[in-house]
Amino acid sequence: MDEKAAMRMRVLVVDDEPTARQVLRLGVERLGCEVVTAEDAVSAIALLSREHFHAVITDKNMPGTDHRTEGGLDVIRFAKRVNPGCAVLMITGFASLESAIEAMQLGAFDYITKPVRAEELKAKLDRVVQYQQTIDPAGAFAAYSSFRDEFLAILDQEAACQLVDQEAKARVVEAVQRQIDRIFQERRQWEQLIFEQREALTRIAAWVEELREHLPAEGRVGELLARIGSAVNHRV
Amino acid sequence: MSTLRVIGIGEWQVSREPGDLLRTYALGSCVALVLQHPLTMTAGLVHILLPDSVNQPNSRQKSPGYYADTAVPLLIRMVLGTAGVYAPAGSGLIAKLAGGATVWRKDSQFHVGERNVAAVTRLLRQHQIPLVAGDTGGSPSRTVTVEVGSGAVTVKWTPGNREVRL
Repeated sequence: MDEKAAMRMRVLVVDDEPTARQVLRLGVERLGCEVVTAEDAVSAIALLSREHFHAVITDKNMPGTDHRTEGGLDVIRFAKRVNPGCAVLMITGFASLESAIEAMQLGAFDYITKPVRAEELKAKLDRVVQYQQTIDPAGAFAAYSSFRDEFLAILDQEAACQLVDQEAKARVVEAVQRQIDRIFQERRQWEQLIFEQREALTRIAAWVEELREHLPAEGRVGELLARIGSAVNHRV
Repeated sequence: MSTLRVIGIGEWQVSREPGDLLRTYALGSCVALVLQHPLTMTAGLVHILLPDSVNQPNSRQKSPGYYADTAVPLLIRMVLGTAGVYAPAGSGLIAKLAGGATVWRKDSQFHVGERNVAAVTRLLRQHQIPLVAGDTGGSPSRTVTVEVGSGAVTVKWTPGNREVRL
């Protein structure tokens, strides 16, 4: 992870189990993020309504507001409502794709299976940073999730036929993920380019507007200024 | 003495000199946040380009005025400092917002303008500063002028020469 980018990432860690919460906090802090913790869905929701977080890492199985045993689902629903650009990583208790799919359908960015390994946590947070570097993170997340959702669903049907074992499934998901990431990487570079141009055009637009206050609106000069003005106002 | 202070992209100015004009030209999807402290007649304006700086590690320190998440706290600090008051909540600080237009094609997927407005609005709420007036969205390019002292904020639209007072 880009050290500097991570340093400013604010992450909310939600887990009702004190030890797990502490381990997660340390793990995420070690990646350079600013961490705030909550011990249940209710206090997580309160924090989300008051403060801004770039990402939320939440356990799925804990007391919630609507879901009695799956409070993580309440957290994810609320997080997406107040800030669609917020990335939610769901920690699921069992290595089953079913509960992962359920989390994805609610808008989770990714899932992590217990026990949480340091390198997996880092890899997934890396991906969050990468996606938040796109101009419209909410849109990027949505595109990413629907890709993966669809894919996981297909894999699941295959599994029902006992054609693929869990390990092979994980490998396939991994491969697909790499490809999706590559596409987004490219998109990010484009967006960076568009940004730089927008910035330049914004400057020009402001200078033109300022010039128009000092120069006559009539004649060739005025006409040229009006034309430059209307051209640069079509910026992103 | 009254001075016209022109504020460029990502820049900010604060003044409590009656008659001073703070002006920023041709906001497209950018937003101009105006913070005023009517009691001391202090006003500040920042020209914000983007909603979030999380992806711009280097630029963030160099130009905090570019991004809503750094620009809002910065302007609050500057205005409070100039006004000589200490905390944003309950200090009598008010906010006005202009810009955030959709200046590209309608089907643009970036929504920079909308997201700028949303980010600033959210940050103001977090700092408990009331947003008392705004002229945002649509497609015009806006030039914003703040008259320090009277507190009048004028938004001029291009094209169209329409004027809105906030």
